[in-house]
Amino acid sequence: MKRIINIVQRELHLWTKRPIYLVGSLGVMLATAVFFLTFFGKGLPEDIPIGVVDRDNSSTSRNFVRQLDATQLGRVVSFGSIAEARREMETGRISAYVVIPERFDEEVQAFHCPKMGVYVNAMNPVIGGALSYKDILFMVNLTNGAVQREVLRAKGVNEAEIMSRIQPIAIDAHNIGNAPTSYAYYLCNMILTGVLAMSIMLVVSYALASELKYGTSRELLALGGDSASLAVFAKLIPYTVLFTVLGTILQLVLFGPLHYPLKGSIWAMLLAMLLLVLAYEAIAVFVVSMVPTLRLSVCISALYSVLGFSFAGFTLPISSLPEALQGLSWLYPLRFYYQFHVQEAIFGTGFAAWWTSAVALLVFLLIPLVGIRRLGGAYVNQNYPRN
Amino acid sequence: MAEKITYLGQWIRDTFKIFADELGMVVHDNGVMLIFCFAGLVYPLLYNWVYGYGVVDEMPVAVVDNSQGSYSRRYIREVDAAREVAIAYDCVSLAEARELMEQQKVHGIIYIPSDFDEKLNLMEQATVSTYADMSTFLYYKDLTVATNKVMLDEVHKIQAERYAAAGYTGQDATQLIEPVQYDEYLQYNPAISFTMFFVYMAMMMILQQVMFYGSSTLAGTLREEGRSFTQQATGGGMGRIVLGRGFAYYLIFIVLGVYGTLLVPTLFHLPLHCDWTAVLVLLLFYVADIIFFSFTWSSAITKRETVLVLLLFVTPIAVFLTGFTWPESQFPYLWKVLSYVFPSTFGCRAYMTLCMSGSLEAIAPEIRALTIQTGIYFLLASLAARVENRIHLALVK
Repeated sequence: MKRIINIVQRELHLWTKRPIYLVGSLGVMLATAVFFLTFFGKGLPEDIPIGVVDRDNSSTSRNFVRQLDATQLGRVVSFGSIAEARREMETGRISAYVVIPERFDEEVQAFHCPKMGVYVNAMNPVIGGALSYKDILFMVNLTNGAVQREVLRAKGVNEAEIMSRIQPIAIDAHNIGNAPTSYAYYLCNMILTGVLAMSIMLVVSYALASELKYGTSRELLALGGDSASLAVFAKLIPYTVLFTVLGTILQLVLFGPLHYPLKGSIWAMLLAMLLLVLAYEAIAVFVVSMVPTLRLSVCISALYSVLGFSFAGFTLPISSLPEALQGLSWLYPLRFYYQFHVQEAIFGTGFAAWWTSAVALLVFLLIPLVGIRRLGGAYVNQNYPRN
Repeated sequence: MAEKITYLGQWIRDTFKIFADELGMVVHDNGVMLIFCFAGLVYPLLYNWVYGYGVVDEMPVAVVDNSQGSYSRRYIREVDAAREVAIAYDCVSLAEARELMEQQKVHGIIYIPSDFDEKLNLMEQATVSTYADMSTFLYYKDLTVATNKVMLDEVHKIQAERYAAAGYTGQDATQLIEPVQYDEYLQYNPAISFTMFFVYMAMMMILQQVMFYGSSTLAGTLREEGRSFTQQATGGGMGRIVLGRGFAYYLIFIVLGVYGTLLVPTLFHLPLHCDWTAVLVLLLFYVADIIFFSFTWSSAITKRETVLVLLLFVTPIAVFLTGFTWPESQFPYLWKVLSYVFPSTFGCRAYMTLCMSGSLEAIAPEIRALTIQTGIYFLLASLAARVENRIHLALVK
């Protein structure tokens, strides 16, 4: 016990001597959190620029443009020609445009069914494209409804019946786990957790391997009574506390004042966070054991953790990855944390649903056992290139 | 025999020596080679592979049909036929369907209430309820697109039937149902796939980040070992140092750039609606920019490992600042300003535009921005080298 306390004290002393530990964890998380939590604003885009080429310029077409402009999502930008609108869309300044044909008004009145052209830049599947597409289609259907309504009114049909005639079927959509379809709710949680994971990998592998670079590993072993396992275990205690506290603060801020959806219990999520921290530390220990040089182990940690964002499954579901790569996703604790998150935060299904993810995260803790002896050897002999 | 060397001759000699030295150092540093090779060569393949298909087709959904009439059955049949979803379970109650969703066996529920057919027969408005699993936006998109498309279709069918009953058929009915018609064109990405918008951005981003982390690691090493690159100049000129080192990276990154933005996308059949020369022109500007960008910001790196530990988190931030998913028009002001710091902001946008429109003319504004950025970063990098050289000389004395 005395030994553990000594090593922890030595580690805390190192933190005050080299700022990299605290800047790399606390500083990084703070900067990332400030960025992402302010970046998405209210989480739903407003006033997306939508182009309109009004070649008719009649009261009917102007009315359509005005109504499109008045929707919460869209803001109309007028263009004189299709070529101009097309160019703006290619350069990404507008995400969609509508072409209202010449003699639009006359043809509507005469029931000649004029055709509008709706051009959408579908490069951006979530925000620009899909949403402005929905907005424009909504408006076209509303215009249709308005024309029908005039006709039906003239025939003396009552208002309630008109509505059911215009739209006999309505869809009542429920979005489980993100009612306002907020982009922030969807992304921030996992991105910030992913950055935390990245920070754990980098800081912990830096801490373990810098003992070799600065030739202080024997001193550490001596404090640990020549037991590499004890030394590494004790050395990681302050990091575990630091990162768990950071993760806890993150979750409390998101689920608390920012009202991110949490259907289940906060305690379960905190448990998942603790397991995530431990799992990533375990991988960092493994990396340093296999490649006991500072520069290479930090490089490998970086290269490994960047891919975590793609393999966690929150952008593209794991099941739609190529099969050979689905297995690769098992190497990422973030993937299991995400499964846990879906079960607990989105569906609130409790222990019965997430215990498998929790066990998977625990399995990562066995990984360091493979290489700890090798790391011990490196700590004693310091026989690897220092740089 | 003493050779008389002109200023220009000396300059070229110095520059070439620095260029060769830098290339040598890159090749002999296995940390830097690991970043260049793995991130520069393997990541482009991996990202193309991971996001290769990029769509979730036939997403499993559960259906609760309490109406069991002809309209509800037709609706369900049509939804099942849509490309986006497939009906995997037919449930008797909403509770059962929710359980399936909680077990992640389905990612959407379509609930048809018992009065659905009755209301339609009575000419009232009927409702379909949908429940989407929001854990991934792709699930939400699939369910929304499929149910809405079918809904619009059904609406038109039902209206046609009703007008037919009232004595309007054929052209007359069409005129009433759809007095305004539209043609929709989902351009560049008709299947609304994930691949396109992410992969284009990633290819350009990889270049910038690899250059920055790689060259900073090397600069950090030199400073740590007390042999800063600024000492290599024989004269006072810092221009030859910045340019000489720059040329070394220019060579490497034009090769990596051609590989990542032309070769790999072609290999994976990613559409490039432009001439390869246009992409090459963009690369010539972009690579120059990322080099001086990296030189400038790496001035603060004094140890070799610190850059990754302290600055890797910048990568996701730079990714979002390209506006590839959350559009630029929605950026808070401060973040818009921050986005101008990164070459990737303009490089990624230009590359995407190029791949869509195919003309260099369309990316003129981005090329202009890249040029201005290159100029500024070149001056800053030279200035930083000068300051560093002064400090070093002072220390030596």
